[in-house]
Amino acid sequence: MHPVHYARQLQTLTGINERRNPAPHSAKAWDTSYMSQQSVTSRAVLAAAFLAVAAASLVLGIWLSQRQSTTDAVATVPPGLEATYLPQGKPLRSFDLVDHDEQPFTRDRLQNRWSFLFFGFTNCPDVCPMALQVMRGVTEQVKGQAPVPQVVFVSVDPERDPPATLKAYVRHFDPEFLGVTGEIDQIDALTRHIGVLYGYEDPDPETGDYTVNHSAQILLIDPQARLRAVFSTPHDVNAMARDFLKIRQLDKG
Amino acid sequence: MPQTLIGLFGLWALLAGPVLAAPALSIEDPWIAEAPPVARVHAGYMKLTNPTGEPIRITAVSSPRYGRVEMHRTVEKDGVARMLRMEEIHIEAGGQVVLEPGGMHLMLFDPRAPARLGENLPLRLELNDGSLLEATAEVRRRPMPSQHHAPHGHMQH
Repeated sequence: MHPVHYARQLQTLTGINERRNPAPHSAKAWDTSYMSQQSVTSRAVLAAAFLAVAAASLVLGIWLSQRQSTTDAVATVPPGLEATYLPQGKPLRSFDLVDHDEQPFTRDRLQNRWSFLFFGFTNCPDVCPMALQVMRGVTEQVKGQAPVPQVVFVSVDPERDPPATLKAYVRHFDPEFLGVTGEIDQIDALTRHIGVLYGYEDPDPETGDYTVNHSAQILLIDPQARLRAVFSTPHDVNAMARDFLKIRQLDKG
Repeated sequence: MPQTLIGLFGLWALLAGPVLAAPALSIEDPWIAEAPPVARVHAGYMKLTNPTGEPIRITAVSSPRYGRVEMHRTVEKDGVARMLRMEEIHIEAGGQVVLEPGGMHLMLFDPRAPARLGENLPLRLELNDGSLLEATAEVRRRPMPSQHHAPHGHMQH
């Protein structure tokens, strides 16, 4: 069977990530000794430039705040969080996948508990093991301070990752981890609305091997099955554990 | 008499030349990340230092423990991780290149046996001048990703 090639240009979380690190738009500090050497004309030009920047900043600020007030899933960064946090959460749409025990895995499996979600494939030597490793570290750290979040590894490579393979793979990292996969259109039903991207590279003509490109973010899903936070790379086990506990607290408080 | 000695020396230098001229690429701390037994692809990492005055290129890697080995670089753009295959690894004169998680790595396909923790697996690096460098990579548990211990910077470019 030939792998299906995808080149999706879906709305990504890039916009959210960019808002997390807004470009600085404050005016430069003035060096008054420099100014005293300038002619009146130059000072007028500088003053006009300063006013222009200030005006542009004002317009930008208003525009950004308008954008924020009109979208539901707004990303803000409460003090002390490194993750991209969605205070209202973005509800997941329904999907029909299967877990590594071949049981149905649908949205209701993400309710009533917090979950980490990661999308990858088992033929991934570097990024996926790192993500699974960090999620194992986080669950270990938060044990005793909170109910341990569910960790779900969704394979976006169902051709090479049937349930049995997934089970053996994820349980090597932690016996509680859950592997999930399914039909491509159902994987898309889950990924599409939360900005997760994946695609297949052309297979090696000699070996038939192909690599899968995929979002490297770790997603946090809340007990209402809503996307609540996004952890971008580079992942840090301590920051992630801290953020998880804080976000959980924000939910309660 | 001196001519004979010079001649003999010249002959010896000619014969010994390829050995003496072998690049002094230093391979430090080669390791392979322990992986689930079901994993078909393992990752290898190491530190490469080229103290010579000439650039050195690794053109191929192989291992009797794996079906084949490729050189790859993890690249992330707009949150999407991709692996770019590299035809060779280039270490500039006097330079150092680090293969580490999240960056450049050896992609070791089709393990002939699971890589067990603590095992030492042989690697062979082929260089641009045709010479071969043998190395032994220790199978290790992956370090926990943490930004407090990132000595060489995250991405290799």
